[in-house]
Amino acid sequence: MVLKCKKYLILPLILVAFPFVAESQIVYPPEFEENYYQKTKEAISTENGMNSEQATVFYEALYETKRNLFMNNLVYFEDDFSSYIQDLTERVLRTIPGLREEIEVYVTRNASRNAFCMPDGSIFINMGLLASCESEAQLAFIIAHEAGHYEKEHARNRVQKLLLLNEEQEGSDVNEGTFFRSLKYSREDEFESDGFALGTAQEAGFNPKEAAGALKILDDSVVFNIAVPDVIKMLSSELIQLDSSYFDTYDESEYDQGESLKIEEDNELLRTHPNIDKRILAINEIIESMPEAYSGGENYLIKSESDFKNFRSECKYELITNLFQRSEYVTSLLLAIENLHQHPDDQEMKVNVIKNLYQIAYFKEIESIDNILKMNTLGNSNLMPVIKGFVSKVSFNELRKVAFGYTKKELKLTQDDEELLFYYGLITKSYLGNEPARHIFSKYRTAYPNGKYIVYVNTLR
Amino acid sequence: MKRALAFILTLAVMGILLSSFGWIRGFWKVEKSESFVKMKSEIKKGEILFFPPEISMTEVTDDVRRNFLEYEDKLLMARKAMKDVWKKYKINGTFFDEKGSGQPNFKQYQKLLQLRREIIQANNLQNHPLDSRDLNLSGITQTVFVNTPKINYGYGSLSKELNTPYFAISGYILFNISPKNRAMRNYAYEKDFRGRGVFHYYYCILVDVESSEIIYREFKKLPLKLNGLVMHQFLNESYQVFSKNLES
Repeated sequence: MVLKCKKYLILPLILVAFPFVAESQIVYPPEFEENYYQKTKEAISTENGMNSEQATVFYEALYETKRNLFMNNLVYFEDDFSSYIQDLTERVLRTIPGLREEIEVYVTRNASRNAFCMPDGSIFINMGLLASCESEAQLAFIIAHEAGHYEKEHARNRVQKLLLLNEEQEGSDVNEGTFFRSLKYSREDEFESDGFALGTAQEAGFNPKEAAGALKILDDSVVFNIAVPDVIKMLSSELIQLDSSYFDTYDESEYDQGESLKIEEDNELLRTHPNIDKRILAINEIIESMPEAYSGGENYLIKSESDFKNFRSECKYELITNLFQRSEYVTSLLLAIENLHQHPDDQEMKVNVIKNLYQIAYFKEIESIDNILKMNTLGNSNLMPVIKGFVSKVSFNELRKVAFGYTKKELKLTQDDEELLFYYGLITKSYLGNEPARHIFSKYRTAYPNGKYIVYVNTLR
Repeated sequence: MKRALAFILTLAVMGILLSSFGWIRGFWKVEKSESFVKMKSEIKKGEILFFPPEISMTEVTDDVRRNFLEYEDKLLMARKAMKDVWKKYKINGTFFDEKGSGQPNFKQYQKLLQLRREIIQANNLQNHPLDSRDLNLSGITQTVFVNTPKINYGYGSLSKELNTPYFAISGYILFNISPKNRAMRNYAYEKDFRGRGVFHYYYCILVDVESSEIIYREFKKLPLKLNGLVMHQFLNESYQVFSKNLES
C-alpha cells in the first residue's frame, strides 16, 4: 500500500520537477547541435544518383561549408534580421507550402551583395545584399529565385555534370578538376530560376517588376555617394589639415582582393549569378507575357516603405559592425564616413569612424597594413581605391593625429557616449601617452562602472 | 673496401633514422607576451577555457579537396590526448562545451565563436609566424612577442561571466600541396601556398580577454602520421614546455 502510494507520489513529483530540469539544460539551435560528420556519412550511404566517390566529394563540401558558416559565427540567429527573413520567406512561398517546409533561410554577416542556395535547400542571404535592397519586393524576388534553384535541383545537377566531366578528363594536363571552382549555374538555370521567382513572387502579391532592380544590385559595383573633398573636410581638424595629395588612387593590382579570412567565400559552391543584362531583358519579356498583370499587393508587405527604409539603415549599421569585427577597417571606415555624410549628427557613426581610424593606425604602426588593404568583401566601388590610397600613404603618426584631431572635434559637438569616451582614451594613449589617457579612463570608470570596456580599463590602473 | 662499405651503410642507416625522426627537430616556435611573464602565477591558478580543437585540411593535387570526413576521428583523438596531458601537467584546462552547469548560454556561445574568429584574425593579420621566413627555424625557439597580437576590445565581460579571463584555441593545419596540373599549379600560386609537399602543423594560442592580448602562442611542425600515440607524444612535449614556462 505504502509502495503504491509512493509510486503515485513520484509521478507528479517528476512532472513538477521536469520544467526545472529542462530549464537548467542549455539548448542551442539545432544547427549547432548537429553532428555534420554523421550527417555526411548518412547522406553518402543513402545517395542513389551519384557513385560513392562523387557522393563523398559532394556531401563533404556541402556539410563542411555549412558547419564552417555556423561555427564561425557567420550566420545570424535569434535576432530581428533572421526573424524578418523567416517571415518574408513564409510570405513569398505561401502558395507552395511543401517547398517552404524543405527550405531554411539564413542571413550571413558577409558584406558582399550576394545570396546563394545550397543543394540541401539552405538559402543564405548576405548582409551586404540586405543593406542594398531598395524594397521588400526585391528581397522577395531574391528569396524566390534561390528557392527556384533548389526546386529545380540546379546545384545538384550541375555538380553531377561537373563530376562526370572531371572523371572523363582524368589524367589530362588541362583538367580543371575543380568542380567547386567552376560551379556556376548555367544561363539556362538562371533563366529558369528567374521565371520561377517571377511567378512565385507575383502569386504571393509582390510586384515582379522589382526583379530587374534586384538583379542590378547583384551586378553593380558599390557607389559611395560622397566626394573626396567631403572626406577631406570630415577628417581634417585644427590639428591636421588634409589635402587631395593624401588621396592618390591606390594600385589595386598589387594585391589580390580578400583572401585568408573569407571562409564562406573559399567554397565555390557559393558563386552565382552571371549575365545580368541578358537576364533583365529576359525578365521583362516574361513579365510582358504573363497571363495576368500584377494588380498591386501592398497588403502582402510585412514592412511598409518607411519601415523597410529603417530596416535598411539598421542593416547598414550592422554591416559596419561586421566589417569592423572582421578587421576590414578600411571598408568599415568608408561606409561610416558615407553614412555620416548623409546623417551628420549620427553619434554611432562618429564612433565607428574613430574606432576604425584607431585600428588602422595600429596596423600601420605594426607594419601589417598590407594585410588589411587586401581585404575587401564589399567588392568593387568608386571610392575604395582613393581611401586605400590615403591609408597606404599616410604615416601612422599622421593617422593618429587625424584620429585624435577628429575625436576632439566631435567631442565638442556630441553628448557623452560610452564607446566614444573609451576610444578617446585609447587614441589619447597612443598619441599623447599614458598620463593624459589615465584621466580619460578614470572618467570612464566613474561614468560607466559596468560598461562594456570596464574590465580592460581596470587593467590599465 | 669493407670499411668503406660499412661506412656507407652506417651513413645510409643514419640518414633513414634522421629522416624518420626529422619532425622532432622540425619547426617549433613558442612565443609569450610580456604580460604572460608577469601573471604566470594567475594563469597557473586559473582555469583555461579551451575551444574544441579544429582541423583544417587542404589538399591541392589534381583537385582541391578538404577530406572533411577524415577529421572526425582525429578530433576525438585530439580531445582525449589534450585532456590526458592537462591531467599529467596539472593544467586546469576545460573544453567549454564540457563545462557542465557552467556551460555558456547561446548568447555567450556566439560571443565565444566570435572570439575564436578574432584570435585567428589577430594571428593571421599581425606578424604571421607561419610566414616562410619562420619556417626555416629549427628546434624550439622561445621569444617574447615583438608586438603582442591584440584582439578587439570588448570581450572582457566574458571573464566575469565564465569565471576566467584565459581562453585558448588549438588545432591542426594539414596541407598537401602537390599540384599535378597547370590549373592546380596556378591555384596554389594564387592562394599563396609557398611550400610544396605535405606539411602538418599544430598550434595553440592563449588569449587574455581582460587585456585583449594574445599572451602565449605555440606552433609546431608535426609528423605526417597523426594517430593517437603521436598526438600524446607531441602534446606531452608541448605542455611540458608550457608548464615549465608557468613555473620558471
